[in-house]
Amino acid sequence: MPYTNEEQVLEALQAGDRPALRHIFDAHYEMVCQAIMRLVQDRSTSEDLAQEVFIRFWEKRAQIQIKTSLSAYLRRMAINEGLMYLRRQKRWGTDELEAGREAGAEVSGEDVLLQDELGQRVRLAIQQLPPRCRAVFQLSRYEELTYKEIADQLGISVKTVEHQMGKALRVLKERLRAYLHFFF
Amino acid sequence: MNLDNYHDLIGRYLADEISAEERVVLRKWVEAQPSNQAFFEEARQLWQITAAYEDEPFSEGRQAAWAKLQSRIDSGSPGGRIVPMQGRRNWLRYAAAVLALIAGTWLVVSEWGQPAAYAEFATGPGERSAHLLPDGSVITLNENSRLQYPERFQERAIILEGEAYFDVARDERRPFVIQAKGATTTVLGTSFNIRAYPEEETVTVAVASGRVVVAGEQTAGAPVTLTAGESAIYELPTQRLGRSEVSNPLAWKSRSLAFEQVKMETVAQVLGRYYGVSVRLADESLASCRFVGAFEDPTLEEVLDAIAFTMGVTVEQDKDSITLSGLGCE
Repeated sequence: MPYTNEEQVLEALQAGDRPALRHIFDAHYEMVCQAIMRLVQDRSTSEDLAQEVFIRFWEKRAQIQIKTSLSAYLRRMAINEGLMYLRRQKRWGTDELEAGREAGAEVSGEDVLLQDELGQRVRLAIQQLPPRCRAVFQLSRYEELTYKEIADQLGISVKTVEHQMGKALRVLKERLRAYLHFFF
Repeated sequence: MNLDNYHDLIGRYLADEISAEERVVLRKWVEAQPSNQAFFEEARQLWQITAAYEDEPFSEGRQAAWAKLQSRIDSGSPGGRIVPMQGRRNWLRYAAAVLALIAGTWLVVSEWGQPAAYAEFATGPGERSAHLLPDGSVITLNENSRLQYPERFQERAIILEGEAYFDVARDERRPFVIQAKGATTTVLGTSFNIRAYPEEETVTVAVASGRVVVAGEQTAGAPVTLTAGESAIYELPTQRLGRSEVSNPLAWKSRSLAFEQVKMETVAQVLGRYYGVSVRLADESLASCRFVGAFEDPTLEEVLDAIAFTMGVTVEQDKDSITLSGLGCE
């Protein structure tokens, strides 16, 4: 579809134009899945939730007002979707300690530093954080929410967000030490 | 404070949640001891490498997902499946849940208001554009450049790729920080130019008015403070940062060139940069000859004619390279 800018796509979408939805879907599906995946850590759940995001986006098309960009808007919807799923799963209340210990795959590395390898290691290290700690870190690092927003979303205090971030840094520093250079 | 407290503080710093006072506390602590500095740098590097995080792509399933989405839209039912009779009740419950969910999300979206997204401006070949930022600063982008900044803009921090001229609104309490290929430029309010194209090995900062602080990566040594008319170059391969004379750094914006007794090797560089061509001096002896000339919105040919005339050189021009040859000036 030859849309020259976002307003045109949106206009078409709001008029109920299916190709416009297709256009948006193709452009943002990957990003929506990735944003959800970071939170829920399960591929097929992420795909299901991405469906919900786009269904809702389509159903709500008449009310949609984009203040920044379509991409930012969908991303926010994706994060909400992922968070809501986690809340339904009640993953926050669970014991902080257990998840951190699972999966013995220690991230150590005399290995060659390959870009995609680093990506894998980082992912592994983050996945091994306790659930709440991981969510705090990811919402701050990747979704750029403020501490206040994170606290509100997860139903915890700002102080707890702060401690969880500190903890994430501490643990990740240990796990990814091999990739931190120049200093010891 | 024990070390864990510093992790919390550094976390706030990295997440952009730190107050001005805390920033001072953190800086003092970092500067107090090399081990503190190392501790801090590790956290900072960790933050950087976590950018590499990514999951396996979902693109393979996109076609199928689209088909599913379409059938759901067409059938108007969540799930888009044929609902077995005994499942009706569940279906209703599910539908009710979905509706509740929709209402919930809607609230969340509107509560959050403006998402904490990055705004981005970009220019293509031959394009230039000026942008007013939320703090009143004006940024003029040269061609093939890209500028990103957080929508909220509480912290005045932007990322530049390519070249831009900055006219930064003065705000003593909030420094304006520009990241460009490993060079960090910090100002309070001033006007200056940054050139940081990905394909080039240097970052050049040239100041038109006010005071600007430029820093490289940790290994680059001390930051450099520049005032009006001064420039600095950061060399990426060597990570060396230093003051340097840069001729006509703002030419792309003012659309004018001025050479006051400038060595021909420099003139060649400036023309190369300004016109996006490669200008070569055939004779070594020409390099240190000095050229005088001023031009307003000149074409390349006009400048080359003037050089040919005053310096007695021959100009050979093919598709994208220009060769100047001559005997030199002695």
